[in-house]
Amino acid sequence: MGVVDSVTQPDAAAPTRRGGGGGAVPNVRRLILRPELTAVLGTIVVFSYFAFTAGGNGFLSHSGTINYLEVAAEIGIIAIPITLLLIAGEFDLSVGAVVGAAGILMVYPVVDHGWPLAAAIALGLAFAVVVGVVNGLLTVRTTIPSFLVTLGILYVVSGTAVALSDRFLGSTNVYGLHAALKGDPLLPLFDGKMAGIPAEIWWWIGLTVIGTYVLTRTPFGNWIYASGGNRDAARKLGVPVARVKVILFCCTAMASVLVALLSSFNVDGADATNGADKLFQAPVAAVIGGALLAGGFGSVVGAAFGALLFGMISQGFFFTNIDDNWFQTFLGAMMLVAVFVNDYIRRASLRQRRIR
Amino acid sequence: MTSFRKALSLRTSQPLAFALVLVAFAALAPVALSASTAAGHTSAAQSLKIIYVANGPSSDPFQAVVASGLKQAGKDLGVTTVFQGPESQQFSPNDELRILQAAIAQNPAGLIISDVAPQSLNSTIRDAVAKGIPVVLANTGLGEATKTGALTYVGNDEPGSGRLGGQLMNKVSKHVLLVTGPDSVPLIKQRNDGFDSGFKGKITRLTIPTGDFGDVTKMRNEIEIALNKDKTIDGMFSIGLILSPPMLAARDELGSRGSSLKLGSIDLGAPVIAALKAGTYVFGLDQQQFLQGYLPAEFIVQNIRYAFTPATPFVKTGPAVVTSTNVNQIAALQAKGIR
Repeated sequence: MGVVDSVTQPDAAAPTRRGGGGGAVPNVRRLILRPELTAVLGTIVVFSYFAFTAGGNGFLSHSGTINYLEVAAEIGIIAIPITLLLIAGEFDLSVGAVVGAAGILMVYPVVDHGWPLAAAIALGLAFAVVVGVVNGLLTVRTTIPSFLVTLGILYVVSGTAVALSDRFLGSTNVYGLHAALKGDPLLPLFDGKMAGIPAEIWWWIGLTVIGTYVLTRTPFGNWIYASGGNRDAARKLGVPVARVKVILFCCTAMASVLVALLSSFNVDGADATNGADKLFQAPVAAVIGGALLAGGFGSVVGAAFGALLFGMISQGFFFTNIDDNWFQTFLGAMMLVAVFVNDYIRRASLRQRRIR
Repeated sequence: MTSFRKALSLRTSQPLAFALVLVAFAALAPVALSASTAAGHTSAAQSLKIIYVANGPSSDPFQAVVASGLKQAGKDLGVTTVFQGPESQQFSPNDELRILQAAIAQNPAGLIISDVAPQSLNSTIRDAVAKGIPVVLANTGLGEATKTGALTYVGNDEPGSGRLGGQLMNKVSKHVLLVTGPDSVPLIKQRNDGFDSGFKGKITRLTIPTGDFGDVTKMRNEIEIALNKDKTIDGMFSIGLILSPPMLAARDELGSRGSSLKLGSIDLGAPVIAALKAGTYVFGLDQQQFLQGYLPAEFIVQNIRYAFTPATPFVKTGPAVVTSTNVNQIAALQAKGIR
């Protein structure tokens, strides 16, 4: 574990334990050094802001909370494998297109041909694996950066989805999902509620837990860090870098398929052009959560808070009733405030340690 | 080190920057606080809050007129009005759904909703009605008022606009390039079908995907290509404001052939009015969307205060014909954001 520890904490003055190992007394400064906290403090600041200014306006109500949590969940689910991929040193821009394409690929057979949900999901996952393998192989077998590979795949998938749906369906969208799926056994798993909280949010929480576990407690997690650290050293140590990356590209595609499915229940259908903004929002959540764009460093829990932050700001805005021309200014300003607070506190605590 | 360099060094700049952050925070808070306290109370009758959930941003030239109608109604009736729409100009039921859900969670006195995707939005609209919030549909959602339990629908007569447009184009052109969007958007389909029924000549339909809306250059190129493909086209008709500037730009690019084309469109805006004044356009059909912001607020307030309900499921705001004869008067109002 020696190699991996130094990779995950590049600027720690003293070695810290990941995963809260036994023995050490909880130390506030040690806590602040963890990558997750980059997003937690910012989230608390932003939440306080909204609670103070929009709390009476429904932001703190049950439906208000569910509103921004659902938006956060759709970003967060994709942000988990994106974070893992970033740690391994690669980008995936194609998620924006996969969401839309998978949506219509799954909804069309259900609505127009009466397929059961299980079959549609299988089709969606198969599509995800194809996209993931193509992305992965092109990245590991050539020297083309994954940024460009996935960008090209983004255009191909998105263009093909729009063109084919226009040609065969006459439009890029299909509606009528709930009517077509009445009584389907898998429906509550994706469209139901548990304890008053929609399935979407439970999926997000569950996958965050699984992602964190894989990253911090399994050999595969070590391999992810190793692939992002030093590719050659990793290979020499026996890490199957290529396989790891291909698997991760499949994971980002599968996460996009899941989000497509979950969000299609919200609007009762799918549109091939949906989800384009995910390509930008998911990596942003990962980076707010502490992932480095250069690779080798990141946190799944952090990305979850990053997604929460993003969802909270973009939905919370509507509860403040500020003139909607200010939306983008507001989003940018709030984001900067949040990440700056985190950065400042992190640096301040690091400085303190060096002085001693 | 000079004092300036000292200020920039890590130690002193951090507290300085942190202070800046707090100042920014403090600056943002009163803005939001005043907006939300002004808009937040729904207890007393004089501070009713009405939220308009739109299908486009208020920065969009078309929506800006709706927003000013809404604002004027707020002033005239003594209520607080809020206009909220998604950021992008492309139809996105997902985004509008989120805003609608947030609006309902605020428990406003009334909701005005642009029902642009009935399959996606109707169930949430019914939830709002079930909660006891009076709802009026506006701008899009023809035929959905009774299905959702809304008081009424205030909007343009879409098939009527298309048909009138076709009839007016009939007088000046034999072969029209219909610059339009996909039929999957109900509003667009209604206008297309209306035009088909009103125009007696040959129609070449150019369908621009909604993903291209907002990219003027791209749309202009698509129109140019269509015009060059068929030289017998002698007229162009656009079914919405977002398609008119590229239509005019394409006409300008084609020199003498361009100036021989007869142009008309649904919906006014600054470029259309300028074109009417210059004689480039034959006619424009005004949706009078100011009324789509104004009248729904009226209906909601009358419903809350006096239990009045509109006796028709469809209150028409347009079309009204604008040509070079009456354009000057309209132009003056357009400058004020009313037409």
